[in-house]
Amino acid sequence: MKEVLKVSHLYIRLKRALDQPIVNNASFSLQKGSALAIVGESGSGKTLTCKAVMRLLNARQFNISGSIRYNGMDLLEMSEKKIRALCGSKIAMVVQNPMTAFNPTVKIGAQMAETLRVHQKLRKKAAYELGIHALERMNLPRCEQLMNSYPYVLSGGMLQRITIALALIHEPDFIIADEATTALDVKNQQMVLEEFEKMKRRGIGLLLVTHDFGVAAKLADDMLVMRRGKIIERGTVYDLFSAPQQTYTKELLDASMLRKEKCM
Amino acid sequence: MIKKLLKSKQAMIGLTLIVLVTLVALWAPLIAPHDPNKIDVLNRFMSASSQYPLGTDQLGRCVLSRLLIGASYSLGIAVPTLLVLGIVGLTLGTASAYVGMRWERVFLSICDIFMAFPALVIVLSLIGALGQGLLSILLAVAFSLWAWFAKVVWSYARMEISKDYILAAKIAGCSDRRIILYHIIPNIFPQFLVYLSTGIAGMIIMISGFSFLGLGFEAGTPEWGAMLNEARSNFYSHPELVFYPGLCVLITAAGFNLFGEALRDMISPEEVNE
Amino acid sequence: MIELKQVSKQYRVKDRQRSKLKVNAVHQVSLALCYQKSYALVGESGSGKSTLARLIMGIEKPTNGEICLDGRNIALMRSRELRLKRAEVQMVLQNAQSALDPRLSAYDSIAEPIRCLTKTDKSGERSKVFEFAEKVRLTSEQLRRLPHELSGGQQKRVCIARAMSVSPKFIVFDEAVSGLDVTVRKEILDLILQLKKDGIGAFLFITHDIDVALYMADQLFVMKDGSIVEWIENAASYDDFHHEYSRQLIQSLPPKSPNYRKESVNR
Repeated sequence: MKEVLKVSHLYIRLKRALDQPIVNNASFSLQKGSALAIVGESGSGKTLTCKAVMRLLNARQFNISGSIRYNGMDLLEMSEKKIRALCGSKIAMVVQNPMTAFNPTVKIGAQMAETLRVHQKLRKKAAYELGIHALERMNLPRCEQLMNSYPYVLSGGMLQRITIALALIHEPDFIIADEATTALDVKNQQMVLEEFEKMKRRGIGLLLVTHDFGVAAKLADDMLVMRRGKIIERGTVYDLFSAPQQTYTKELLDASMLRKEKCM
Repeated sequence: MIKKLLKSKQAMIGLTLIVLVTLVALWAPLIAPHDPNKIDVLNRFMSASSQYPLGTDQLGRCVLSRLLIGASYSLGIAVPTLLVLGIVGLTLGTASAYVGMRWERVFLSICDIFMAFPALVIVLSLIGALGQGLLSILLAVAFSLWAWFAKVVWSYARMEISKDYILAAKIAGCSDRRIILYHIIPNIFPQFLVYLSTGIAGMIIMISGFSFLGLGFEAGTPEWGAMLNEARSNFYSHPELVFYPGLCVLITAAGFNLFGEALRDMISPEEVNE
Repeated sequence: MIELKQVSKQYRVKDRQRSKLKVNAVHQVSLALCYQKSYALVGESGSGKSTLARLIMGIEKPTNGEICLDGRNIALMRSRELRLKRAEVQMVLQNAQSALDPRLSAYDSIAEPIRCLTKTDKSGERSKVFEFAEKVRLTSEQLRRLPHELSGGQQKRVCIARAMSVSPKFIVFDEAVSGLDVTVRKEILDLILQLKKDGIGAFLFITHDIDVALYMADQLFVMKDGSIVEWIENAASYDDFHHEYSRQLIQSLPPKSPNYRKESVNR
């Protein structure tokens, strides 16, 4: 299997508190067409790790060391221009709250076309058609109508599927999904998760960041458990679910699967 | 908050200017070297000397004394007017936002009508009705500005009311009066303070503007705007007479503006830090 | 006893053509909730479950039907009487952070209902606040903090303590745990269950998560598009759901373990 992302010895520190790394020696790799889930509580450093991969951390605020290799290139040493061209086309990200990812006053179609034209020299019309095509490929209903609607009339699940469609247009090598389904209700969550599953089958790597073990159970091949910036446990999803080693992992798993003690 | 304020250079400069002008306004009669209204035709247009630190004007009055007394006129009108406006604005704004429904719409329409009215027209008609004097200026300013204040308060209050903690307060059993006095007003007050302190600058300029046009004050009153107007005719021979009162207006307005802006930055720190 | 008789709530919505549409947020709901039991209400976003909570609290008025607290129609109550009823029926809102006045310390927030609804002197108020703060495991140091100085779980606990401070008979929890970390969620849920065991307040727990609903209560309602489609007494597992819509909801739940994938590969 081909490795699309390899993070080794990643440290992230705040510039004003250099002695306490917020992400402490994180190493992991992501294969083509597989899914890696990073689970942990808020504040465990999982989102920060993703942002470091996308180079979204402010260099004045954070000190990042280690290496993040994408197809052999070190993302940390790449020029700003190159990385921006890469992110959004070959490396895509789906964020937690789709409502805030769109400008509420501009129609979906216009926003999609604009995003597309950043990466490709396209005429407006061509970009628009590419957008419709992407939506159709996601099996979204009434694509023309979707392109002409404003974000606020659509449900969170629909918007999230649109962002995924947008992320998929340039055939990325891997997608980072940062709590992508947390804000959605079960039905929408299921639809989004199914899209992710299709992506996996198409050979796109998936870096799942979540605190929900159910999401990991559905999609992930491998899992990392992060706590206070450190990876405390790793393994295949089957191992972690059936035989977690760390007590913390057990606690997380227990809390995630609510089991009712029938004693009341 | 206060510590932060003390650290901000902008706020301190603003505050220093405000304190300076306020002290001058309060102590003016004591520190003024001469009677600001004493006419001495023999000593017209004297240049600065130890007797007249800033010289004399076209009627031989001490310019420094007139400027100092002028501060008390500007602040003496602006501050009480501001208090009146603040109280009117807070009451009407929060009440209409809280009651909502039809009352809110009526309130907004009235505000819009008043905001569309040019202040000058109101002043002219008020002076026509009440005659010259402090009171008509005060009323005129209050009349032409209350809608702005009330509407700003309304928009702040509207925003707070839509937040969950107001709902939570209702559930907690707060009476309407308690919600307004204990939850809404304290939470909009910092923003309102910013609006007030930048608003006072506008008001001072407005008052000077009126008296420059000869409205409100009797001829010869040592008010900055009026002094500007009187000095106008001798602008080419003695430009400094125009310059001094202009500078005073500028310093006072700048003080309040600087302070208000610094306060605003402090209240919305997230916008500044990012 | 809270009774809802054929309650409907319509909203008028202006769409883009500025024509007015009527949307049924709650449609012909009849329920009876007694103060001894605990209930859970499951529904997707937009199913009208939050509107129902607001109707019960008398924050919004129903378009049709009537809501009675202890046999008294709340539409006919004077505002003062309704206000005093809050001592008996309380509510915890979804978003703890925005539900706390940013200027008030945790102590003041918890004391708010005591000050508004009861005639308690300062020392009585103090002992009550500390009593309930202890129940939700907030330290006296945390009580002095402002909302933004507390973590999400702590804010939630302040909200719960606030709702309980007047010892209500019934508490409505509106999506009280959505958006929290799983560990914090478990902690809050267990806390609520423990408090119920201690005899403080039965509750209606509104959630979109069937797992949470099953965990919290025996009496389950499933809501869809403003109507209650299923009512299950003594619900214990997924098998107790029979309505087509409920089955759909259960099917969309994420799996409990990855092992199902192994099986499907083996087959």
